[in-house]
Amino acid sequence: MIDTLFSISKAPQWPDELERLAALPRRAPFDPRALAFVGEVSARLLQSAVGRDFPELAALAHWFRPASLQRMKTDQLAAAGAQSLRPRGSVFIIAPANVDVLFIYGWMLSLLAGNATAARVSQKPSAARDAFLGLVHQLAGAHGEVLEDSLLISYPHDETVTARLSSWCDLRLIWGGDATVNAIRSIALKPTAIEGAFADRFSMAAFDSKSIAEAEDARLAELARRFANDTMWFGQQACSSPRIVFWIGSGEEVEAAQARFWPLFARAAERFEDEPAAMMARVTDLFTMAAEGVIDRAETDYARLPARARGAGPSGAVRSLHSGFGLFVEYRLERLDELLPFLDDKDQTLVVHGIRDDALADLLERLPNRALDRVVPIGQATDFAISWDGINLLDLLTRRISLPRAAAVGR
Amino acid sequence: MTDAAAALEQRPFSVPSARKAVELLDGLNALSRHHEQGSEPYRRMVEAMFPAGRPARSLDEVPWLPVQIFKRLELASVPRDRIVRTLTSSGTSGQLPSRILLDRETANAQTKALVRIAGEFLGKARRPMVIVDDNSFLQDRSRFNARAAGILGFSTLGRDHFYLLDAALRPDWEALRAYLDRQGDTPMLLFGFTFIVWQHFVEAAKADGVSIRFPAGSALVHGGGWKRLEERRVSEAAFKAALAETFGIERVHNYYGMVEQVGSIYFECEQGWLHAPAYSDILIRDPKTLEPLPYGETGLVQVLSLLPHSYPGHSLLTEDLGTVYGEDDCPCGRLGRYFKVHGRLKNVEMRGCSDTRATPAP
Repeated sequence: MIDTLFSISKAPQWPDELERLAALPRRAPFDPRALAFVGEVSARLLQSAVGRDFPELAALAHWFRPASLQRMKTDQLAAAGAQSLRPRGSVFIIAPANVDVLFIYGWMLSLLAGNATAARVSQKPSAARDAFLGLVHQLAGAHGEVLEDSLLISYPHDETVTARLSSWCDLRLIWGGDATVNAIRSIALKPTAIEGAFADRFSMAAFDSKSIAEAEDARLAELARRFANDTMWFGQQACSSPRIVFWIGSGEEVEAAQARFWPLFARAAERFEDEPAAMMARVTDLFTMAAEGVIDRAETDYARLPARARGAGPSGAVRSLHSGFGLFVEYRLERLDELLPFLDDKDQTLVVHGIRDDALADLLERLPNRALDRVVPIGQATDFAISWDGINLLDLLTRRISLPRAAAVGR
Repeated sequence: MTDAAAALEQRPFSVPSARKAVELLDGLNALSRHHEQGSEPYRRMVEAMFPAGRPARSLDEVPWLPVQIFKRLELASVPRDRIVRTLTSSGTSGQLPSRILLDRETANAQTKALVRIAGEFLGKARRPMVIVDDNSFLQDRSRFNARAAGILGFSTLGRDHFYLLDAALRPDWEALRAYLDRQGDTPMLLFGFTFIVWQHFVEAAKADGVSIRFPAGSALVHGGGWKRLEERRVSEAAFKAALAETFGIERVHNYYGMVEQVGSIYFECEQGWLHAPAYSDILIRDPKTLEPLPYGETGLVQVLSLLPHSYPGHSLLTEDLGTVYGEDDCPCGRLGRYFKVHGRLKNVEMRGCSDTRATPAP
């Protein structure tokens, strides 16, 4: 059963819709009509009650504001240089069940890039998604030309449908857990297609203790508030939400920083709901980590947010044993580069505060294999970024055609 | 095991609170020491999570484990070659089951405790027993799930067992009639899981138009939780009324227990309260702070038991919500704390990018 959440067709038929989409001409990347549509979505979300009711949609609207679209366009065209920038072709997007709005980022970027796009949306009910789809339907009349090659669908786990879409697309984008990514990876793409897969990742923070300990009260309260957003917004389950905190400095500096920072964090975290089942989940995680030797000491008020525990040294197990809900494994390090042994390929975002540029540069220089894709200041961990897991999404969503001479063609 | 053995020699509901608190605390402290010596993962958990030190000075200071830990870890406090039985919980889909490792001593203590407790509610005589379930689990005794362990445990309370249901959970009414004829007027013992009793016994009889009367004095023992009956808006009173009306069964005892803590079987008395026996107790903790709560307040149920010797399960924090109403003063006359269990915490929603913990795709 395929549920069509949006199609320009009056009576969409499966799988005819895919052929209809494929047969349409492709628009150039950043076609003015696409920019106008995305710009209007952004404006409407910011002006209407929808943006107030769903902060994640307000953040999305801000991210897609016209100035930001112009910058995206300029950057992308500059990167193409003398080559001609064209859409990838047909794009199949699979969004995760639990981050309602991720499919919107993927879909609107694909639309801006000029692709025919089929996005599979989770079957889980979502008020934010419904509000967004309502807006798209309202705009369909005025923006039919841009929306005619988009298809937003939902269907229960069904390998034949996923296989049909996979043999149709030129790019498959998957956001999901490791099991989802592995299951979908086993479904063949057409030979010329490419894939961007964004699986489970792990994130951490590194704070210079002296900077925290010496920060002004108001400044520190703001940092704590932002770090609560970084970690508690999705119940600490976004891939980019830090779960480990490295405190850089001497024993005294670290103690002073922790003593100031965590009470402010606790106050900031009060506005996030903490269900008893979530508390039991993090408590069970703490016990399991203790049994496995990942932590050797927990702060005993672990029923309250934040639950904190002292890490017992580098351990890969922390990544699989930690399921979020406001739990922080903390390590004290004398120097930033001491965190190198802790890193592995799963690690995505490092949230930093007070870290000197040269120390950071030295760390990045010595990163193991493919560890870390982002280093961001406090407050930006869960921001959407065009560069995802180290891959520029617009590079995936477009192609560059090399030309026989330096003159730009089709600009 | 001496503490448990001594406790098991007492009548389960005859130890006044002052004596029970001392004996239980001594026994639990001894068990904590035993498990710390026998299980390295247990020692690490206690040291990291309860750094204040031991021994506990009161029951609420006894270190506890979250009950879900047995879904994550296989914990044993005796050498593995002493383990004679592994209990597993049924577990919801997508989750690993709990694994509870029993040596002979612990398994025997559990059986003995159940017999002694049940005797206080059902009388000492072993009665003909109808089990409202099927017996296919008997084929493989090496690994027990919670359902099989429950049936097998309770079946020691009766004799001449009759299994009412087939593997598809269809009742064989004709065979039941023949069994009842054979047993004459002797009051019977019936056992089953609450939801199975409701759907495959009470409702099935109504659907099949069956009218069967059990001998006067027959008693039903049932447990496993009200969740699915609550979804169908069946109250405890309606459940009892239906059993009286449909089968003439006037005595119905709910019980509360879990595979993770052997011996923690709490029977419902004539007043409708669950009762903690001499070798076991109940604490209620605030679901926001985990601080112990006074009588009358609802929170997370912590169960304490002197029986778990082969694995560190003597003090467990469950995810069930309950209320202790008092101690030693239940009108039914049984000593010890009496309480009610209201259900389980609702599952926490998994969010974030990692969407697949429960449901693999595509």
